[in-house]
Amino acid sequence: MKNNIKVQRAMRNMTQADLAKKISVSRQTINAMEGNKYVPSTILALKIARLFEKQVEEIFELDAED
Amino acid sequence: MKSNYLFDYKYKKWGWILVLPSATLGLISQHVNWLKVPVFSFFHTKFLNDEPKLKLVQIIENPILDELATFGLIIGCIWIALSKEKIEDEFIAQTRLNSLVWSVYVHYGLLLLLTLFIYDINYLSVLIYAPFAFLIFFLLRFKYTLYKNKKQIGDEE
Repeated sequence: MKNNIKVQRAMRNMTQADLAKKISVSRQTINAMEGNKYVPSTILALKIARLFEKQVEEIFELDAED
Repeated sequence: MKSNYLFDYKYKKWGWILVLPSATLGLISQHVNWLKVPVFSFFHTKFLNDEPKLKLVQIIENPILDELATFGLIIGCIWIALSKEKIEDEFIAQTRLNSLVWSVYVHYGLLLLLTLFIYDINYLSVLIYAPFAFLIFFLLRFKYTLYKNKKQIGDEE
């Protein structure tokens, strides 16, 4: 799964630490998601979408491997 | 994300406080016979005129340094490895699980290898160290992965 968390974050001038704090996860988790090394749970994906005021599909997208 | 069978974050510190002296105690206990006290034994083989005789449920005298070390090491390692991280989340949980799987392979792989090459009375040392080795492999792998993840954050900013 691909995502554009990094872009969304940049558009809002947020650091990884800001985002981590807002959705109550560690900075490693944000970093791993942005690096496509970790696929978040549905709960976390929904939290991120709510924070960015977007639909989940606007942030997360299946890739060829899925 | 309800019950995850983990200890509170504050147990991690107590784990370290318990593990370090216990490991030292364990190594010392291999060479001395201190703290000989009466203990309750479920079954115990006694040698009478070189004849082994199994005695059930009795009080025997035993140096308990190694028992203390075993308790300290196992409980300490579990507290270190299975306490929540400062910020516990699903990615940390997955990292923990991956480390657990990794350590099962390494521990039992090593055990098979040692079973193949170590025999007789020498195999006793393998059996003595095996229970701790698993927890230590798990601990090292988990901590190393967390460290690697944290370092990566540092590199990117």
